[in-house]
Amino acid sequence: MATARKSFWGVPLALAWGLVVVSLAPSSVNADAQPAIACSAVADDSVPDSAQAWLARSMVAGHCYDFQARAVTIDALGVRTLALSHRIREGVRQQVVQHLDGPSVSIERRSIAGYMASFTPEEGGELSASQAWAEHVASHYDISLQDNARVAGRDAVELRFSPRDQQRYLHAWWVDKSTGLLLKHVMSDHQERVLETFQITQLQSPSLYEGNVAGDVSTERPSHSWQVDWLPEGFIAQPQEPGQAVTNQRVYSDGLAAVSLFVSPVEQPMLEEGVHRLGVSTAAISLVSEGEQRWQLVGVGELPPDMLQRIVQSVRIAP
Amino acid sequence: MSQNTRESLSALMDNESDELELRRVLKSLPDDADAAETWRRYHLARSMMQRERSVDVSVDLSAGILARLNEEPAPVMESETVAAPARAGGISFARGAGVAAAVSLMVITGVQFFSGNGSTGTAQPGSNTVASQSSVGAQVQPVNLGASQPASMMSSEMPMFEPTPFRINGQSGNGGLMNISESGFSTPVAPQGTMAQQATAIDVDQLRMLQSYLEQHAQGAANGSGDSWMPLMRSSVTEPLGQR
Repeated sequence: MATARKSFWGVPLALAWGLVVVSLAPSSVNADAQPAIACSAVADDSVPDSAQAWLARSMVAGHCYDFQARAVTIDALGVRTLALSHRIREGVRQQVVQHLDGPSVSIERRSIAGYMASFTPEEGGELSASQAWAEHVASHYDISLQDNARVAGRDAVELRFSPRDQQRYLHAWWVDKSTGLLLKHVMSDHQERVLETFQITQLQSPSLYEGNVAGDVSTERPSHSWQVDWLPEGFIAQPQEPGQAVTNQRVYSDGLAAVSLFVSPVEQPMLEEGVHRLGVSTAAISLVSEGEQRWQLVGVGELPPDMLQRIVQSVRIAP
Repeated sequence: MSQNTRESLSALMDNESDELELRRVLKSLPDDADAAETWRRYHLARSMMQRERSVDVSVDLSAGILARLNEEPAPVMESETVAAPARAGGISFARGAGVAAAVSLMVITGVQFFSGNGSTGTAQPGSNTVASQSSVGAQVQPVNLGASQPASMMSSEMPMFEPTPFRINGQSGNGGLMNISESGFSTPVAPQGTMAQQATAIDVDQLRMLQSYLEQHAQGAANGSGDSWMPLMRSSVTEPLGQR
């Protein structure tokens, strides 16, 4: 009798322990799940000491600070003044960009606070999403760090990203030392001609979010009936953003640059083949026939045009 | 007037010219002194050919109409306005043509209008704004970002945003939507200036489709790369043709 009672209690206890163990390490259960980020830890953590550490800090800061700012963007079309707003409310991250030049246009994006680009390898690992992202960028770009920069009256560190090949653009970031927020971003081609600049001119009242963000955001990787055979080294397919309907779009990113591929069967192609510049971005269109079905392949991204065309032309329909 | 323009005028009269030709003709007409006369003659010729009995060839009404229009306080845009010549003191054809061209630009490029309840009139396929607009009971919260300043703000800090309340359309929850809303007047959201300079003239419809792809890409890029702000600013890069 006594033995039976012991074993009766033993089983649920073992189950409870098992559950606790599993919930402590969510990243190992689902490689795409992202553990919660305690924003207050951003302020407590020590000053980053390496480029990669600054990158990781900057990524988390972007999700953890409420702020408003004035900024400018400069590209081939000229200079534009913008007002930016970033707020986190109940797990939703709200970014607003308001155009202060010309017609009054505002862009608003809502996303899951804390959900970041996914560069965690399949088998999980110890790194948080921001650390995995930083490590991925560091393995495909040479990063140089300069400590004594100043942007918009704030002390900043300058990070320069040089790609190891000529298949993507150069980037430079200036990260605010006290908050980790991105203050300035310059993108140039491999001949160091500046393509676009984004610069905050005034950062107002950044305040740290007093909670946790994200936490076990699981994502899907829907299957597609096509494959892309060639991508510049380091471009990884990004999972479907949670809460969004599945479309024919697939995003690939190396951490700094992104490419979207839209592949769909068409009865009557609406677009002509070719490569077009859309400001800083490029669009490449290819039409292929697979059996009796015509397919329209569209690639959009911030990459050299010949690279984008190569990517689009390497798409293989595999139903 | 060149033969080319004459042919275009004739095609225009018969409603057989396309958008490009229309614009070209309208642009070249202000420089042409006898444009109005040619136009009148073509119409007369057509009336003759179609055996309209009631046409009076001896009277040119356009001068009288022009004089009457000059007396009016404000110009009125009518769909069947007689093409007034570019004479000094009158409603210049150039201005009329400019208005006509501006209207057609807006229509073609699927401009988004701001109406009282924040509905957007874009027709871009696959656009998130259309999707959000069709969701019944979407949360529409007027946001006045200019008012959200902390009380302890220093006097030297100015409000970042224009204090214009604009509606934010969106689904509740975690939908990663990108919306373009406008406060104020309707504006042309047109293909970019650099596109217009391309040697290969690209169809305006194709440009609109590419713009829609660019917006979807911007949403994916904001999610999938390190800088989530730059993609939002890129997708909004739209300048009316000819402004730069």
